[in-house]
Amino acid sequence: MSLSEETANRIRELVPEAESWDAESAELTLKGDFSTGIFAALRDDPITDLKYLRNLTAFERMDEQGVTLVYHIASLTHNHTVTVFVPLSEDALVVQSLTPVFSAANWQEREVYDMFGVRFEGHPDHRRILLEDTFDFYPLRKNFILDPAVNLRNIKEREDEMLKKILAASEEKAKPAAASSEKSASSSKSDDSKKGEAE
Amino acid sequence: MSSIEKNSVLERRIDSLLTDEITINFGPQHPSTHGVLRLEAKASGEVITAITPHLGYLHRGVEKNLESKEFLQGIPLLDRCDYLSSMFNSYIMAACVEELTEIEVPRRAEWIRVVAMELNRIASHLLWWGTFCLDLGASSPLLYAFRDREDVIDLLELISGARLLYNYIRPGGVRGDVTPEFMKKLEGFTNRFPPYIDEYEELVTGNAIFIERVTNVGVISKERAVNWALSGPMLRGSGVNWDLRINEPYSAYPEFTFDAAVEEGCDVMARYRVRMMEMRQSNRMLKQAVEGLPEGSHTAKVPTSVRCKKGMTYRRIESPRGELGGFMITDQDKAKKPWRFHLRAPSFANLAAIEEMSKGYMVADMIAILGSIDIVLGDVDR
Amino acid sequence: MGLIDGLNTKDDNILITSLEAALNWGRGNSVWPFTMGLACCAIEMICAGASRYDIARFGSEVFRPSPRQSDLMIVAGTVTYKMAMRVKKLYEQMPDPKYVMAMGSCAISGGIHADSYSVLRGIDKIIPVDVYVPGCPPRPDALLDGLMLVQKKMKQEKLRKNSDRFILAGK
Repeated sequence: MSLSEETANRIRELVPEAESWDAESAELTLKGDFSTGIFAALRDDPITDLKYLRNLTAFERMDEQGVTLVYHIASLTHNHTVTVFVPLSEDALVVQSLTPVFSAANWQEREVYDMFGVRFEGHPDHRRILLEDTFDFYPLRKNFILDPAVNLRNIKEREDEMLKKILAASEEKAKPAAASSEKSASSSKSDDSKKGEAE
Repeated sequence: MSSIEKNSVLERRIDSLLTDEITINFGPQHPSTHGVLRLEAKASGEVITAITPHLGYLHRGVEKNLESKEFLQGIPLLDRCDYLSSMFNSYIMAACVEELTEIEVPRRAEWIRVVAMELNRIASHLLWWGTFCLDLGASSPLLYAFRDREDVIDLLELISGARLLYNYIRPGGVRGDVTPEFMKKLEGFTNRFPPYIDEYEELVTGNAIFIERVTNVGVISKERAVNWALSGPMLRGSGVNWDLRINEPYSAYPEFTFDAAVEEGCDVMARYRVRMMEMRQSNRMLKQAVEGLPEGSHTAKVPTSVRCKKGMTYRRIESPRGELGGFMITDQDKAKKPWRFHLRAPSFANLAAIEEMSKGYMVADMIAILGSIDIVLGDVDR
Repeated sequence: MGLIDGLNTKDDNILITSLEAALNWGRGNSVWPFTMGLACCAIEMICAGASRYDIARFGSEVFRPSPRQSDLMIVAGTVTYKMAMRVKKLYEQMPDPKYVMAMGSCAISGGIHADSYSVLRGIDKIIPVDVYVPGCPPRPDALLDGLMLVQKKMKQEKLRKNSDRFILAGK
């Protein structure tokens, strides 16, 4: 979907601080310290109308250290998509959260944090989403090596380590819960939550 | 004490009697979460005030594994992400590779792909219909749905050899050509299927209890649906006419005539109607394929080990659950493996809105709302 | 037919068998499976329970959502580390004697996801498994075959404590 000239010009006007804007491929590059106002402006302008955050992800750059965030934002009325790149350097993996602008950013940003360790400032619920909180690695970073050969050799140790970690975490979790349920044995809250977990 | 006074004392007591907010835990092992989803719902009385979903119980690290696999080896892995619509997942990998290799796909291959994908859409929607009704307490629709789903599965088995995870669509085309036997059976199915849907509608759609349970439940407005980036039947059920098969055409879809199913209701009923209508539209497309399947080859000439040029692409298609996107980067020319492959999972994006949709409704309504999203946990967690 | 004719008399009927055989016959033909549906295999498990394959023919149509009411746990799908402790907990909540079926390559060994950083390579690392049903996913026919193997196992069990096949051995 190529952009109309009017839209391309409008985006140039709305985002003067962009590092680069390629109207041909509809690719916009922003600095890491961009303000969310840019996205709000692109969303609310009737010509650009970029209301639909269809995809948010990241990838590790090949030539240098660092992670680049990718936002695919679309307009459902004008049927065009703009790709926004935000390159981040290794020592500053932090950007503004887009959750106030697009609700859809909420989980997708959490996933990027989970997989790449990029922090999103102002995110309402900044936790890992897919992995356990006890995991101390960011799996999609290239320094986390997943070599089948290595993996098969170390399979036993890795597994033991992982299971031990989970066991320790679950024991830790169980301790305060058990203490509190003793205190308020009649409280329906803890009873219900336990029942639910079992069924 | 007079009786009037007594009553007022009692009334005052009832007013001042406040119950605690209780936490209700669904899952990760619960039949109506359609897999291993865990929902932590807070309810005041029976009304939901907050929901915290906990994901990742089926996180299998597919995206990382794809980075160490060749493109063709990646397809089975992707098949297992959204296991109810694995044809679509295969297609997304094939489409990404085709874009970065500039393989020309023969017209017949694209038509066969559409046939395979629409059959898969019917199978997926049938399973959704059966389990959704089961969630609402009706157990016989499941048996009807599976009676006809087996019909579809037989057809898919004929072309791909598998019942659930097909690994059929490949870069350049499809793995095997369709046989005359398959076309004959497909024709039979397309004639049999519309009366089946009528039967479903008679059985469930007009049922007064069903209508009560799903109308004006889980309402999400058009604007909010767009803001949440919902897609597929969720978006079209909120009155947004956005079907990637029409708006961003791919494969052989421009050659078919069909309508996007759009409903204005914004509630569970609207999503239900959209899916029922989609099954009819899929059947319509299959009919057209029976009549006009072009001659030619079922695949382009593709080397066993496909090599892509350096580049980046984001391809998206309309899966039964919504926008299924594949974001692929290769790091060098003649790349054998992707540098990064991201699957934009429709269930993941749609499930994110569950809290907003269920707030203020009853606990039992939450099950209906969750069912209407049609999540597949393999797709949510990947 | 001979049996029916035999039963169709005016006198009271007596059937002579051992207690073990009667007990095992009853248990084996009314296995209540626990729906531990985790991933793709769960769909084939539902297929086995639905119209065409109809697991009711083998007396196992009563899929229970609660571990406390079931005696066969069909682990259908990939078990991740995050899920592993839950699977074990649910297994512990089942009443004895209990049986476990590992359905699909993922539950057996991690299958296609064995390279992954988050997948447990086989549920036999955390719970004892009685029957393995291979396939990715196994067809419903294979699941039924696995169920028959469980039944076969049940029917060989003894009530004598010093027997090798004591009903609660290892439990």
